[in-house]
Amino acid sequence: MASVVLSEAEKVYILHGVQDDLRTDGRGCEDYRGIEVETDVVSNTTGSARVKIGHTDVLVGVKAEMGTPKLEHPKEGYLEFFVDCSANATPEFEGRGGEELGTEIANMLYKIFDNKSSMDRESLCILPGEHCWVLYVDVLLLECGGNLFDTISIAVKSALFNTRIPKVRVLEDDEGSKEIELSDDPYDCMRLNVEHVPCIVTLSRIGHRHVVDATLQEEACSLASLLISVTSKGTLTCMRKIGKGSLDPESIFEMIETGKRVAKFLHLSLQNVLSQEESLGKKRHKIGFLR
Amino acid sequence: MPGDSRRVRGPEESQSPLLYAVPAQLPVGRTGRGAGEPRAVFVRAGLLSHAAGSAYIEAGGTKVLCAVSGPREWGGAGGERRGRLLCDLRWAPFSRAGAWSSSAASSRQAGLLLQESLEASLRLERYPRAELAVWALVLEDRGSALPAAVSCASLALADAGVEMYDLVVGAGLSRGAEGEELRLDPDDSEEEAGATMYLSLLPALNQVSGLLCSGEWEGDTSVAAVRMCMEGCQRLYPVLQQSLVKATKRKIPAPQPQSG
Repeated sequence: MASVVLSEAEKVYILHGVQDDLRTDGRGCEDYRGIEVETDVVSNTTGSARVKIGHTDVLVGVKAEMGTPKLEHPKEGYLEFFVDCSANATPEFEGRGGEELGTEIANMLYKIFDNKSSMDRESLCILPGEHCWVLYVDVLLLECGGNLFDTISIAVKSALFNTRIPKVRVLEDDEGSKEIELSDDPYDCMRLNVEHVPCIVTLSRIGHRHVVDATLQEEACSLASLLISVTSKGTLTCMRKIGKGSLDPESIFEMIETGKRVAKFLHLSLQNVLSQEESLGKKRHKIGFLR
Repeated sequence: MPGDSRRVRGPEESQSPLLYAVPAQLPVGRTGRGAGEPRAVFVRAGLLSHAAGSAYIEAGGTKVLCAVSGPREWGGAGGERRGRLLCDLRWAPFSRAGAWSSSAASSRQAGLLLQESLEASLRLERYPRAELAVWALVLEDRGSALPAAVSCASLALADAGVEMYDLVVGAGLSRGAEGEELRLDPDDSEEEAGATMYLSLLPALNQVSGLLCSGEWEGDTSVAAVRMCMEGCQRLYPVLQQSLVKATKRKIPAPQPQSG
């Protein structure tokens, strides 16, 4: 992962700031940086979104394709995640350098969606056991400035919100052979219910406190952090410790509390922003990415 | 594990007939042991002759073997003054029930998790420009292989005489459908259901070095699960200590009283 090298004095400065609930950019310990969200930014996708938090910029595209359901779940469609760490983000990702981080993030995304409450996958089924929609979710890292996981999860949720899958009908003739018919109207689309899609909150342990949305500098001061993915109802769908250090059990419980509280606000404001943007309709001024 | 190109694997689209069978009604709750009761374990340290340290753990049907080599020279890149820990966790191709499979992708992720769990317990700054390698091999996987591998690897590191703060003990836990009880140390059939948690603890320091959970956890169930895992770790700790003492006594025979 992208990282910065800090001197001891810089680390002490950040640490003391966090202890007094005042971080180097003026935020408190439970404050996010400003989050920019824009949906429908790439024309060739079924749904797309770009999210920018500080210097972290992520672009997500969703493509819906028809496939066969998995045998274990014949009545459900499924999602596939790919994370591409481009060398534009940091030179460390050159060649195969970003591969490890990419698979790690993709695995995390599979984990947070691997339950019944995150998304209604049965709505993606067209014909049980034969046809279903497969959503290919491609994540591109354009810029890395700390707090990758949260940014990606917000972007994935926004892109799924923006996804419009064409409606299809299954026709059956007298001989029992089935045919799939695509609707003539290009605006006749199905939308996904993303209400319960979880968001990840990363809590980084710095000194005796924990902070949300750490910058690269703050990440360099933190030995261990806890990722928790929380749905809008407050259900935990995944939790993972990352980093070289260890955590006190009591602090883990505190972090779970904080994470749930922060995630609730995050879900609320994200839902507001997304519906607000949609209400603008065609009048919306498109900004595009990396600006 | 590299795939065997000579092996006939059948058609690409072949499926187990079990998928089409009517699912058997799984009994609610487990039989034979209580919910908070781990399976019986067998632990032995220092059994491989060519490794600096080694350990073997058997928990129910899960069998894990682990060897440690090093510290050996690595050189160190980019001004890194700490030593480096390399972890490799593999599943034998025949270790799991079902069709033959090489699980390269999932074992890589598990290796990273193992590394994160162990790193917090080691004094790597005492091994500048050196490298420690941990090889863990799951011979048979009947559930909770990762927690067993973590305990086993930590024991092997201690057996190798690597400087560390504490042993790392792993514990697994699963919970079936909503509202069902938490079950410590699940076997493979229990592991498939619903939600799972893995936790590794440094018992003497009371620090959690590894944590991963998936599935749905409402309200305070996650907190209860973490506590239950920690209890499981504390129960296994004296067993590991005992086997470590035994291995050390074997290595260094008791001093004989000097005659004359």
